Amino acid sequence: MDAAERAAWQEADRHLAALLDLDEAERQQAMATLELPVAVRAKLKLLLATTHRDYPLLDQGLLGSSHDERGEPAPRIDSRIDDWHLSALLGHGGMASVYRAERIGQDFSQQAAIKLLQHRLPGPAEQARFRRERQILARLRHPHIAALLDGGVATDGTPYLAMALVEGERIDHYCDQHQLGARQRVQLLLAICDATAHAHRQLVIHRDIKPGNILVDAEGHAMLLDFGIARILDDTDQEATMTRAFTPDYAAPEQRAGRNDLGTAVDVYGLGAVLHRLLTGQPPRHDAHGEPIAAALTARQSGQGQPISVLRGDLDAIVQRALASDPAQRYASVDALATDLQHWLHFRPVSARKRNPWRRALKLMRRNPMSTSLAVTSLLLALAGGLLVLRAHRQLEQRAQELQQVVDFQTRMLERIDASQLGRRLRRDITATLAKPALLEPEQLASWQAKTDFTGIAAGLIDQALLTPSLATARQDFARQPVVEAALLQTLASSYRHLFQFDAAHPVQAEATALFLDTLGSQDRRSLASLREQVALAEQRVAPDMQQQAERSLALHRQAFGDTDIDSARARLRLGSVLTALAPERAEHALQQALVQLGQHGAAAATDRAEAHAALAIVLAEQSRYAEAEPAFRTAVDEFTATRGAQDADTLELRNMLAWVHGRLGDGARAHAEYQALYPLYLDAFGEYDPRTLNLLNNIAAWPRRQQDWQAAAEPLRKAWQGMTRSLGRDYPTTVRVAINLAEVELGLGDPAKARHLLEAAFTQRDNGDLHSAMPGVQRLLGKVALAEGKPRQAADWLTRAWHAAGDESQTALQQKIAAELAATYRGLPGHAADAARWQARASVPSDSHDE
Amino acid sequence: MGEITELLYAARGGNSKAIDAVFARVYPALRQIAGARLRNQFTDGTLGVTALVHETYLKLVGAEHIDLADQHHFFACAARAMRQILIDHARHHAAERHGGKASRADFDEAHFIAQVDGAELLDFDRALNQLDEVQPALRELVEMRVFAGLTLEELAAASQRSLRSVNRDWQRARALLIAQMD
Repeated sequence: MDAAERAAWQEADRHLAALLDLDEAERQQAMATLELPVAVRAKLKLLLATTHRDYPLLDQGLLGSSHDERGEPAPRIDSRIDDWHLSALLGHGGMASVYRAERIGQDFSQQAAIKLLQHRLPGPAEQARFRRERQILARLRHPHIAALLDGGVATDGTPYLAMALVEGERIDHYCDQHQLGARQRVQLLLAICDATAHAHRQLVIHRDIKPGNILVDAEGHAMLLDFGIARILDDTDQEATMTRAFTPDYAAPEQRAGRNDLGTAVDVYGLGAVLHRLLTGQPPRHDAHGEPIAAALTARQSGQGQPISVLRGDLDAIVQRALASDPAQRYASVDALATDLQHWLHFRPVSARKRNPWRRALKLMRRNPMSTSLAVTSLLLALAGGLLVLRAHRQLEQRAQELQQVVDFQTRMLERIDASQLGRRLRRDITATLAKPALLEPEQLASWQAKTDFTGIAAGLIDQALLTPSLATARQDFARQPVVEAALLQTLASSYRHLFQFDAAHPVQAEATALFLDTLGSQDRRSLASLREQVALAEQRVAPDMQQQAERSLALHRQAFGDTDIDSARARLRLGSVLTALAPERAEHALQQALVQLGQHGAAAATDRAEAHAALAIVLAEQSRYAEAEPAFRTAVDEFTATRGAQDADTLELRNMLAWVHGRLGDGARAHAEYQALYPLYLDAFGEYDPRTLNLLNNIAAWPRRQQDWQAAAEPLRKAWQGMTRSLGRDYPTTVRVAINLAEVELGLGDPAKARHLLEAAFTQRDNGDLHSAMPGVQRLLGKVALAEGKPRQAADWLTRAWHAAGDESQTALQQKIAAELAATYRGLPGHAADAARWQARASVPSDSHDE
Repeated sequence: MGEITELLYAARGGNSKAIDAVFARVYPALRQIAGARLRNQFTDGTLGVTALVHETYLKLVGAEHIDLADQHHFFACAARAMRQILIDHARHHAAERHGGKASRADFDEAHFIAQVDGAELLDFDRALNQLDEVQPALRELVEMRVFAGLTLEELAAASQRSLRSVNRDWQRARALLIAQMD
């Protein structure tokens, strides 16, 4: 119930309180003079109508409680009526109770549902209604209608009907409990359509079709009950007395308006209303003009029901047409409604929507994607395809074993999708196409290539063409096989994760995990594997509760399998990984512990150990514990190479990190050699313009820069800077840092003008928080440029600013260097001996006083 | 002052912890008494909620004299507990019919408290939740009448209001509730 709805009920309730004290005529008068919003008036009418309805649970209390204690008749359990022995109360109807009963005195035992008028002696109108129901039911024989077995009047004057006993559940509860998909719900309703159409052919209208009157048994067979207020079309007697016996949520507008000339359209509406309930979880609602609100909208607002994508379009059009406020606008017959539902089931165009050749073509494509390009044979193929789909469908449902294989296959297929590979392929093909007739100048082509995110486009294509339809199919086709559905959803969520579409992955992953936990429980390995995936995704999304999720997962694992189990160790690995960013010391502890446990599981845990070593190495490196990080990185690299291959993106990035650690440990030459060895592999794996490749070029230049081998540093740095300028933009922090490095090199090569150009551009980014730490270096280099250009005063000015900036960034070592450079600069300037001495003092004494 | 009367006294100020604590004592007591009555006598059908609630009152509160307001709290809690027992039973029953495998002994008493169709009870429960959204006080009134079996006179006495105004509330609650059913 949303806020508006609640407010409307509350307002209706306020008016009701005032109207309750009035008699019927006064109420009508008061209602006429009240100024009310449409929604409130409708609700007030409903509320007033309830005074004419019985509700035994409220009016007589729970049977066997206040009921018998207040001297009212006890239920007739164990009593006998004619040949029937009543054994249990099944429920109350609007005017009767229903008992389970067995026929007495026969060799075979026949069971029935006995419908019995309750306690009060019924009035003549009710007696007439009851007799009519008996006549009507006797004529109706249909596999989906509860048959009348017997009927009569008991010795105490109570009339009764004996009907075939249907043991089942209300259709809406049944569908929800079995988590049926939209197609299966529609199929169930089609059986009821058939039953209703049969009754219409016998001139019988049901007039109270609602979920409570449709039961589904254990075999999935739906039965329509209770032709309690049905009437024969040509039978016009005493209608006025019965108009209030309907159920407002599912009653047609003309019924609610109290009209007497009700036709079969009432049942079309009732079936539409039940369908609405089955698809959206709610009875239909109406807008201010009395027209039904779209089912997709209702489902979205309530967050219940079938996926919006299923409801929207044809199915919604069918529901809308069945629920039209004007009976003439509804389907002309229940058969017409059923035909449209059949069409929807088989992806054919439905009559509820305006015909449109383009839409028909789309339908055809969906029905049989292979046949669309073959214009002549398309129809034949479509028919054959339809049959194949049907047969395949049945086989799938019958043989779970085969199904599992299909699922496994699909899972493997989805797992192998590599968006970056597809993106590279896309880039190559498109470039070839564009280059051939020289559509673009080489310059334009290069710039366009650099700016285009091919991997992103590929990921989008995969999502649109593969994942989204798979998702819909999984939900729809496997709703009755929750484990299969969960497995497919899990795969799809993982696919989204591998495409870096974390926001898309999140709801699918949550659904998969919940489905697993619901169906298999928290002791099952598949459930917990899914839970670990959920934690991994939370880590990638940097979800605020990722630590709690990881801890809960570990607790469930330990509870289910004990502490040393391989999956428990994996859960601990996830926790350690999550903690790396939050609590390095705890992370380290968890990862070490996970490694010990994973060590006991041999080859099965190889990939997990690799991951644990990598996470551990990163935690150590982040704490500047390079000597400990180095062996961890080495182990991780070996293990990644063994389990994932030397070309794997993660293997390469780990090797890059290992080289970086070597540099940190003072072995710049070794790092340099390692970076250089990686370059061709990066080109293969990521391509020339990938930020990772460009970053590697910057790393390759680091050692020559330290050696002041400007010539060797220049080429990789220029390449890196040009590539980043194109693909990331000139002002992107990484680009700016590379520009600063390049400026140093250009200056070393004797080109201060080029260096100044780069540095001045970098200095405009001084307010960018990501670049604060680089600014002392920029100003110092600008000072050196000024020196090289023969401007020592300007140089002293830049260097002084650099010294203060370095102080702000706590870069003490740099401050000392700058102070020495300042001292040298002032020594070259006449009349600045004091300044030179002052800076010299600062350069030699590591003075705390100037450290921040 | 007994434990329950102390809690009821605390609940008077709207202390939700105290209300929960009362509920936590009433719920098992109700089921225990139902179980005991089932074992000690042959029952023809049902035990009845009214007798059970009153017996629970005697067991927990005893002959101690307590305020009407506290009595009201007690019966509100008892009604809620009874509703919980019956709804749990109905849900359990529905689940069991569809392959669930929980132990059924747990709910056997509930089966004899009142005979009512499980699906209808679940519908009623849903409608009650909706009523609670519209008028929480009316939800409590319905609970006390249906699940604790209190008469309108008893309700008027416990809430210290006139029978007429309680009756009118009952009519409002009945209308709102039926309107929420399908």
